[in-house]
Amino acid sequence: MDQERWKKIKPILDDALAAGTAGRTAFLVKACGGDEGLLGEVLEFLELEHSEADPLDQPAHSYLFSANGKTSPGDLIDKYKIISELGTGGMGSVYFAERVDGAYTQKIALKVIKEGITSSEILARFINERQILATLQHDHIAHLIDGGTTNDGRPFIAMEYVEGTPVTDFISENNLGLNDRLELFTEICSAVSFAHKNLIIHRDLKPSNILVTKKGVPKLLDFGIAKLLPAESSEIVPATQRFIFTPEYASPEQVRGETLTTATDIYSLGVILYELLAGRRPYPTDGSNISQIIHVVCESEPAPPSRTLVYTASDGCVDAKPKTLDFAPQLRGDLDNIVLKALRKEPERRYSSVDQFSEDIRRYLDGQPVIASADTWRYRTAKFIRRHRVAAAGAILVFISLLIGLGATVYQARIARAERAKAEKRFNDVRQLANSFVFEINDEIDKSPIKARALLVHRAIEYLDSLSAESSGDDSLTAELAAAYEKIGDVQAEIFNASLGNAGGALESHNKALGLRTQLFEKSPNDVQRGIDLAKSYQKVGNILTVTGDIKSAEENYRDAVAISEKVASLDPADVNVRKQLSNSYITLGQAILRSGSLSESLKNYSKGFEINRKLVLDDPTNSELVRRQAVTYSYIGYVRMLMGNYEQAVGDFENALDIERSNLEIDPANLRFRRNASVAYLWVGIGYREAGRLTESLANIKKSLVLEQTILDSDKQNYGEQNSMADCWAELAMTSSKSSNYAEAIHAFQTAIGQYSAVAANDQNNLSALAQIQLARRMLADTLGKQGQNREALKKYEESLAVLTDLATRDPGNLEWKYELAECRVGMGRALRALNDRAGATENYRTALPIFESLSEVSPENVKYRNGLNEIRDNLAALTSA
Amino acid sequence: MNDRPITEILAELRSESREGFDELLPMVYAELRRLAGHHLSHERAEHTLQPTALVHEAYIRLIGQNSVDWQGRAHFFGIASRLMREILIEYARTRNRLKRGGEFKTQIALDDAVSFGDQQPLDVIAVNEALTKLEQLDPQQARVVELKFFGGLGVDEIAEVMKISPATIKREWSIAKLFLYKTLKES
Repeated sequence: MDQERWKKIKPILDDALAAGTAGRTAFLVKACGGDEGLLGEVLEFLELEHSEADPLDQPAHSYLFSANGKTSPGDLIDKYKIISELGTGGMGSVYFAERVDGAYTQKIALKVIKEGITSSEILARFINERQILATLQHDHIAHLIDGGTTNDGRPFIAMEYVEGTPVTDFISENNLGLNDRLELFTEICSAVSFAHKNLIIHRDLKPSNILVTKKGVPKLLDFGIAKLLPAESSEIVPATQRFIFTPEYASPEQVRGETLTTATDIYSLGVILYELLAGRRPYPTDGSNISQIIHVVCESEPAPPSRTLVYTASDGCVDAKPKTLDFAPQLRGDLDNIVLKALRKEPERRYSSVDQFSEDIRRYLDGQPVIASADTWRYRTAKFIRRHRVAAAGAILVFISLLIGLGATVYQARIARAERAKAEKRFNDVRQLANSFVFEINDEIDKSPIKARALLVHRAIEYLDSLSAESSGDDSLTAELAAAYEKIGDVQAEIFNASLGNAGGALESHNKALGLRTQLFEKSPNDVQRGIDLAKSYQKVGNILTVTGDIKSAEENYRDAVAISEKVASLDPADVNVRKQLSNSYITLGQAILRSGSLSESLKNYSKGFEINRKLVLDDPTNSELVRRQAVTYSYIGYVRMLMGNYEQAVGDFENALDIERSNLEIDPANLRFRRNASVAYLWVGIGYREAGRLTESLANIKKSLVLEQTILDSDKQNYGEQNSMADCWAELAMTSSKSSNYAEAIHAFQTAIGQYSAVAANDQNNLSALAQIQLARRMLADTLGKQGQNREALKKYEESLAVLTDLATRDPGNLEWKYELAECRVGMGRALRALNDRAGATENYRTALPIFESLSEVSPENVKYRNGLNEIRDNLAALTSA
Repeated sequence: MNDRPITEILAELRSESREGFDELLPMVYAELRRLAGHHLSHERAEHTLQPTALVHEAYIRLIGQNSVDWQGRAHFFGIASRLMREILIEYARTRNRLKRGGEFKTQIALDDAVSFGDQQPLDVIAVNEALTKLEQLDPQQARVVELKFFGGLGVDEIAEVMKISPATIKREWSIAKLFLYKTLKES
């Protein structure tokens, strides 16, 4: 077969396999399009499909290394006759056998190492189990009867044969009540405790290793991976042995491959008790993915068993009998605490021995107070948050008390060097809490009154600063601090989201985060995540600088973000997060360039970002974040094209963006964010149509935008970001009305917009863009007044605007938009004065505007507004001087 | 072999440097050979010589668990699978010579009743030859076979190594199997 042929056959095979066997022939006839030879060949391939027992699904090694010998029923091993096989593991099989040497009949379980095993490690493990069992004579441990070697030299163990069922099955089959379950469990504890006293850890406690006989006697089995406790804890566990465990019952230290102590058995017993009481395990552990298991076992806090007594058929519960539901009230409190104490992540915070664990259950059964108590501080604060989920003031109180705790801990760590380990331990706890609270509270805050937030932010910064002073050298703490500063900075800065409108404070917070992120990335320049975080930090600083009007510095930060993103992308070009960041960096840089200059360079950056993102969407079409970015980038690109005069293309881009936002809104019409996004998208479509000269469509879309925005503002009247958006809607409505010669409506709309922008600007002295928006609206109001012949009124507005704009332009000389506005005011004044027959005044204003427009056109020759302005000035000056 | 830490080489590998690859290869190979060593020299071997187990063990010995992220691990497993193929084929050939004293093909019955039931035997050397043919037609598909059949990696692991979605890996694997069976049948 040649490559050409294979290229033809492969896709047909692919489709045929995907389609399944039903109707395959008809499909193939069609796919091969009458080519009989091709059809025949494809059929030859498909005939070889294995529905089951596909040999190639077994890896190569299984064909090369397999034991040749096999033990069958009837075979004799030493003095035992094999009756049946009970089970098989990696290193051997267990058989049900009977003693036949005439001395007496005895049913036993015979564990024989597999033929062909030569690994000294496995042999040692087998011998180890035999030795361990020999020392463990206990009523609740299946005991050793005999040991020896088979005729062909394989070691075997003869053990007590336990006729029983796994403990979880036993309790449900026999409908055991709560107390009986607990009694049974304490018997199991006695067996484990006995092993511990003999310096043996079981390491694989699970229901299938704890069988209960018909008489209700539990028996512990399978010490196959049990271990003699080392006299010195420095013993190195062989790497392969470290990872033998049963994920559902393994302790955090076990899944991490750390040194194990008796506490690991206590943990597994805790899981078993949980299952006996609640009917399910504390958390789902999907055995397929090791990192997921590690994450769940090490990170997720189990819910108290009393809360999990709601069963569904699919959640893997072993005891679905509704009877268990009756336990819930009895579990609450002491039993919850007992189980959770055994399940603590940190071994030293569990019960110190199985006996202590068991005694606590005994105390519960006897009605005495138990030693296990709720994980007080963490537990209570978590509860507190839950209780006050709606009342945000509650969350703020908790946050403040948390930060006080945080500061106190730092203090403690500093002064109590003697107890450094302890102090650090507490410090770590608090740090984790602080972290989660900063994030939780940020969500919580969305519902809280603005003033409460200001207080929260103030307190948070105070404490983060004090913590920062203590953190040097500790990378993970540094990273958390950076994240916390960013969160706080976001809260301070999200001028376009719910915000405090405090840009100066936000810049400070984000700069602190940037400093910390830079440190971290310099320390590990190959760390992709640190690179991404650093790029994000640059962008955040850039965002704040943009709002405060420092366009040039903002652009530098965005360029730094692109540079870092490209660097990271060179480390790992396929990583989804890296690609996302790269796309985002280009798009934000495109925005920044747009503010200060070249339209085509801006478009180029947008397009780069768009293209990366488009591919991401293709890979993951349901990812809402990516889809949303595609929408946003469409409108950015549309905007640049509009500035370049490509109106029809621009409208197409805006419509594309709107399509995406509308379909989001259709899915969840109550979602404020979706409403806001759709409102903005409608607004842009409206603007695009206006510039393209299609005024009816423009007005319709802007009105849709306005109505949507009003519903958002109704639900959050204090929100300055939304007020700003609302003002945008009014200003655009006014512009379209003015262009449609509907002057009365235009004037009213401009005045509304100016009022709203003023409210936003009054709230935050640093918010220059709101201030600039006022001037823009006022200037256009003046334009409209001029069109109505109210030239004196118009002049007054132009002059007001001009004064503010002149001030603004000196504060940020790099901002082209403001320079343009300033020049437009001059042009407007020229127009009004000319209408009033003040030719000298008109000429003077046009002459002042001329060099500004000339320089603007030089910087951004593709900008139509600049070109048109320049033309208008030249025409007027020509007319004025010639007459 | 030099003394550069393997983590450093892996980090370099991620930036697609050819040098890192050449440097890593002999180190991994030596370690795998060492681990698989006595299985190769003994006629009978144990069931637990699983490529994945070996590869993981080699990985832990060479690198430790936590110092390299998954991308680095993916590279490592990718390399190790290629080497496992060589080692396994070398073993199969050695074994044939020892057992049959000649050029017989490995027709080793699968009699590990518990794991594989009444599975048909499979000639691993013939599979290797068929795979060599597939490599010429469709390198990507052949790579999937190498990682799965010889390396013993799971679909998700292969997806990580090849940076292709698990769904694609599954489809490539299904098609590849048909190709291999057909080639085996014809040979």
